[in-house]
Amino acid sequence: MTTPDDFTLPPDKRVPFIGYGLGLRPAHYADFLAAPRAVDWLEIISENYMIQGGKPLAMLDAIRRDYPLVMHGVSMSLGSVQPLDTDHLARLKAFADRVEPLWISDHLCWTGVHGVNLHDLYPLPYTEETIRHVAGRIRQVQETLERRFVIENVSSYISYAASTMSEWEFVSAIADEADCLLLLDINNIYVSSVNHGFDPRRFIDGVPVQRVQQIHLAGHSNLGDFIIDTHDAPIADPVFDLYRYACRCLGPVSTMIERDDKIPPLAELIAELDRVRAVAAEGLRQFIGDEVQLCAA
Amino acid sequence: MRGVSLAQTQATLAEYFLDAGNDQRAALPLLADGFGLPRERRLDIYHNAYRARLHEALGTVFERTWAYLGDQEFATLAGRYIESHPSTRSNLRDYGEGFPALLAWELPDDPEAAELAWMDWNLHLAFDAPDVPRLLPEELALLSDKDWETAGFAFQPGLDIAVFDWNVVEVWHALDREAVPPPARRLERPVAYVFWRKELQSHFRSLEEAEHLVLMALLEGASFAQACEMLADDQPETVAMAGPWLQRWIADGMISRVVLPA
Repeated sequence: MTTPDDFTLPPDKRVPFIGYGLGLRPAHYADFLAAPRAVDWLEIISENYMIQGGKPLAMLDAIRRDYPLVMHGVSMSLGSVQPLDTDHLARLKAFADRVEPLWISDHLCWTGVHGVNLHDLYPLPYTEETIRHVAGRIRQVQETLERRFVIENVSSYISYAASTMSEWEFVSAIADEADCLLLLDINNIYVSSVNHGFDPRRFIDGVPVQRVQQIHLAGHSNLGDFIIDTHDAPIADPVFDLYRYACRCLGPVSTMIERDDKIPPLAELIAELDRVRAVAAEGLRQFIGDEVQLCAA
Repeated sequence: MRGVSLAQTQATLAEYFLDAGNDQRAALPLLADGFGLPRERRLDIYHNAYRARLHEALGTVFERTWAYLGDQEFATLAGRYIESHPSTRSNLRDYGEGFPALLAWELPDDPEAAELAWMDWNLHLAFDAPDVPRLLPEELALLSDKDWETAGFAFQPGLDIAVFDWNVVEVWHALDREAVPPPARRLERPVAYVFWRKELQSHFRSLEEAEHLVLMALLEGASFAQACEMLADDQPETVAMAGPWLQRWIADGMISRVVLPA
């Protein structure tokens, strides 16, 4: 595991840096069971294992003996106006008691309303109403899970006429009001910056450093006049550039690669993870510790 | 559109995403106009993604059915299912429950397609079924003669039985080998298949008529003695097979425990 001995972090409530990880995918179960791999930790999609038995759980039980795990959800629908699914939340708590993850995250979005699940991560209007609504729900989640929750920025293709602030102001306000942590998806920031025309570095500059628990990196598909967040390709160079900038501004943050489609052999992802470590090291050499505000200059 | 509540925003967009006709009139004013891509195309991205995601979920579970029908036919039928079945499940894995029934309705001249879909669905359910302990052969030796008068069995939760009129198992095996499937053919008589999970993999096998009868009785809560009596009345020539069948079910991990009346 990488240890960031060269850096000092401001006092915060995060789980300390645990290095560089991958998302656990069924295509790689056998590889992880066969031999130790140069991966510091693994992230699982909670819902894929919140079933009552069978192969996924058996594989997870075996692999978790060797790797620290974090849990990442896709169906909490934190931004929906329908009541939180307390059954889902209770099952998530029971599952977390079994897995003992280092932290648990889900997305800052809504996924359905009126009992219909649309199974997509829809952006929210950036308004005071939404901030109050979502922060209250995150507090409810944190009470049930008995831990500080981690929320992720989603990629988006629409922006709302009702929004009264930037996405980073919105994300930061919710994190402060709910007293929760952040999972910064650097690819999502880049995708949204292209789709909506903003400087992605302003997003990094705008979030509270002491709340950034985790970073996601992923590939996308550039369709010419917009970018889709497809997770089916290697991390693109501009996303690596933004990640380097994030490391410079935020210091060491536990980082992983999300690959959900066209999944390559594990060795390829580990090689990509090595590039992530190298880019992080470049950024971290310029990390300016507590004086992060200089980053925005 | 300022002043629109979060509730109204989500209700309007959800209605739009679910609308097969892609009518954007109510949703468009919710969006800011400005940078780059027109709002209409931005809404299209989400409208298409909703359908693509559910299509992919159906294709994962109904993999052999998809291979059998071909891309175009499967896309058409998946599209009909998606437009008529908004998901109410928190997990996308559970989405295709009604798809075999839709195929039976939509393809009355190709009933083998629905049977193949039932096969895919049963294998999927067995794969995801809860873990429960498995009955060990030596546990039977602990039963007294008196216990045997009333003992029944609890089966693995994912175990299910389907009866097929068509040669879908032959078709399934061909598709599994990525070979050209044989033409659909009605069987001389319907054949029952049992689906269950053994270790970590889904399995299925055919059942003789008498074995089917006994297994159904036990699944419905009959004791083993009652099931054997029924067999003696109905098919006396097969009653000696009940013991070997029980041993095979236990060896195959189909049974979780002995059930004795309280």
